[in-house]
Amino acid sequence: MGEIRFSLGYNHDFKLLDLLGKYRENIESFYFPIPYRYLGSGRLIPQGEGYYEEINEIIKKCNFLKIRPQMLLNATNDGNFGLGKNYFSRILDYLQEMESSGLKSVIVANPIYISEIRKQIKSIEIESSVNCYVKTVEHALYLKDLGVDVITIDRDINREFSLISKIRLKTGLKIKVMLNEGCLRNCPFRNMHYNFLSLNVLKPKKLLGDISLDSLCSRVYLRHPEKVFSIPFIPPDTVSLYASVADYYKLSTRAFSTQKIEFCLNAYIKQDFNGDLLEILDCPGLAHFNYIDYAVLKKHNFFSKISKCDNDCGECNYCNKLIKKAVIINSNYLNSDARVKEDEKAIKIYSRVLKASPKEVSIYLRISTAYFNLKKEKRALKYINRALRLNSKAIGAYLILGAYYERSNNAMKALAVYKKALRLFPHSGEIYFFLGRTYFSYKKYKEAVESLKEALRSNYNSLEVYLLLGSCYEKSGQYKKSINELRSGEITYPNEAKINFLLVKCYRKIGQVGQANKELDNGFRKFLEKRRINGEEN
Amino acid sequence: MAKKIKLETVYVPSEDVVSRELEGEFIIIPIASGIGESDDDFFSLNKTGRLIWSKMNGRNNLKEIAHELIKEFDVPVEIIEKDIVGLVGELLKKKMLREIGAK
Repeated sequence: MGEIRFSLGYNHDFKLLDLLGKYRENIESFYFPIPYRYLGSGRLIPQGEGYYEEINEIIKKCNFLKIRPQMLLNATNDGNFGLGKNYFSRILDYLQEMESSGLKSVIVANPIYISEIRKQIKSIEIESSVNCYVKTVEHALYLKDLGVDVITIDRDINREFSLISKIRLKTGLKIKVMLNEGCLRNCPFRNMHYNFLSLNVLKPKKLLGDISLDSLCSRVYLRHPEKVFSIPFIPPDTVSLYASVADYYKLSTRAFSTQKIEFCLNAYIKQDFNGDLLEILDCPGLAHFNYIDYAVLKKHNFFSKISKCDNDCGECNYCNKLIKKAVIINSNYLNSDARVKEDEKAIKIYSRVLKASPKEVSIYLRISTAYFNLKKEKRALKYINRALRLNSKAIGAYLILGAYYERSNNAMKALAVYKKALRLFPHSGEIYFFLGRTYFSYKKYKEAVESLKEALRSNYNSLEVYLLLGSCYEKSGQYKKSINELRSGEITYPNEAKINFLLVKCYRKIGQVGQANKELDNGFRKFLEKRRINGEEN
Repeated sequence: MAKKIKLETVYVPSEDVVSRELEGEFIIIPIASGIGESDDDFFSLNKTGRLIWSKMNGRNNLKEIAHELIKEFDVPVEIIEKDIVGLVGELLKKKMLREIGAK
């Protein structure tokens, strides 16, 4: 068996190109999206103003390194315009221009585009996108007739070796598998999700009910956390099993930081991994979880067991047992009783992880957070100090320590901790937020506003930043400014009742009772909807 | 230590809460400043609690509220007063009431 090489996706951080050079022996292709001016995408990732020009540099660099440059055309819905002659002609002209600049391959979702590109640009390699959802030999053969050279199989059949093998044999084409995508198998929201993203490039609208795209998976996980094990990813230590059925191995990295891409790539190069599975899987819905201990999964023969599973759940209880031993759920998604149990479980799991990795600073911090949540401050502080002994610049330690002093009503000490942290990390929006929060509780509203605005400027725009800014202005009697900040927050957080309730207070103060009542209605509608979902699912 | 609740005291709902009957349940929600409040940090009142809440309008002290409630419930005034003090204690703990004086 030859060495396995991987396909990496561009995350719009130009520094990633340096990694291509460093890992040229391990990377066979590099994919990047066609600019939004031509077509939507399966991801909502800002491309930046210079992206159009960047593409030429990317192609040049890839060719120099002998890495196949691939352009993604993976939108699953192009609306009324997608099949228009002029619309497609623009795309085709652009692809022809890029091909003459060295583009070697395109990854395409729309079958009509596949056929047209095949006719018009004979020498370019065409891959069917994973968004073609190929799950059968028949489907793959149709795509072959349309002109594809490589079939990316639907990740849902990732563990059906005989089927993948059959697709390869019957089509005679090369097969690409997705390794680390973290989406649910048979996800009921999948088509809708991709269609929505394809048409709503960077223009998210106020959505129906309490639906936000990132929370859709959480709704499933709240009812069935064990479904996290149905994600059809291919673990690093099992990649070699695919050598006889697959030709290309794609890492889903477009939404990863460059640091995370290198970490993930290394795990797959080494074909070994023992840490937190969330470090290598890609799906925003996985925010539902805080930790998945892959070492425990391996110990319980996870891959072999899951690959043979007939999905007739309720019989063996394997997944439920594994949830208890290896998975920590993000307590933000749980009610208060469940949070306590999850924090107690977290301490057990993290303590076990520490035995294997005693220098892992992040685990000390996670344990301290769990102890803080359980109001066991002394124990929490012990773990913070251990983390700082290992790394005096562990930013998380300062944040947790500051929060502890805030909770102990020791604002002066909290401010001192955050200011010290800012000296170490002067551009951290998170620290500015915590500083602003402390000033607020200290009734220093002017200073709080300055810090919170700085947090926003540093791209830290959590719901709490807007609520605190609104509260600072409200407490200082600047109601119109408060309303403006809350309205800004409402654009990012359209389903949060808290914003409306604070608006109620401001409108009442300035005598706009009618508007206050409207906000009250909106707030209770959102509250009720959220409670209905949580009630059903907790 | 919590302040002793006197029956002569007059309370009103805090301006930092909103309340409404939702699907047969009476809910009081704190208006969040962004610090510490979680989504499940609301308070639900039963029928008696709702009645007490509705009478805390700044005009009646707790003793007067108890006497008004005798008309609705056939129980000794001492029991009603005890219930009221218990509820007011809970609501004060959650900063959902504001004391405005005594009479």
